[in-house]
Amino acid sequence: MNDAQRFSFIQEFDAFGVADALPQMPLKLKYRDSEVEVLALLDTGASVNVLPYRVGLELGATWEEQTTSVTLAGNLASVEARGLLLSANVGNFNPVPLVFAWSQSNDIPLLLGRMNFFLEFDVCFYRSQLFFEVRPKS
Amino acid sequence: MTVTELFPTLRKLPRADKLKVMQFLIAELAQEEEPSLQPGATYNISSPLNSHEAAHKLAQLLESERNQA
Repeated sequence: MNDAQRFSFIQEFDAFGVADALPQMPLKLKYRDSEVEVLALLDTGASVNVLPYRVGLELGATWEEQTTSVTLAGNLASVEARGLLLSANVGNFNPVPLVFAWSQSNDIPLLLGRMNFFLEFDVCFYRSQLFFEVRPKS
Repeated sequence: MTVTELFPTLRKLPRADKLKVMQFLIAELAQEEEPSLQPGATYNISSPLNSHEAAHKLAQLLESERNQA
């Protein structure tokens, strides 16, 4: 069984100047020969992983080549999105395939949701102690 | 101004004012601790909640890529 890797909540101030702490972690995403390092928000409320438009472009993905059109709910309901399969490195763990709804919006964080980040990893949140632990599924 | 610099000033205050300072600090701390939402504010939620069809389509995409590998 893999050991869990620990990440710190990232403290930020919201629009009202109130301190908040977000479960964000660094992630290496790979598509063909391109690789980018991003900060991703773990979001158990999200049905799917969501990729901001600019990150897909940085990875060299071409919008027109992606043929799986998906419809998102919530704030993203008006934003067009297409399925994009990437390889992801979390911490020191082996790379895993993560499938994203690549959205045509840059006004969102990169979200890690239930399809399929939370299928690949078990996560424990310790908000009061400002850390969380991530472990590949056993 | 540092806390150390504040102490001599606070010490000179009359008892009633010292109590007021205590109440002020307690209120400040309580405000920081209590969860609060701003009335009338808009809180954006980016989570695509209940995007079941999208999740299903992405699962199919993942599966088809696995089958090709």
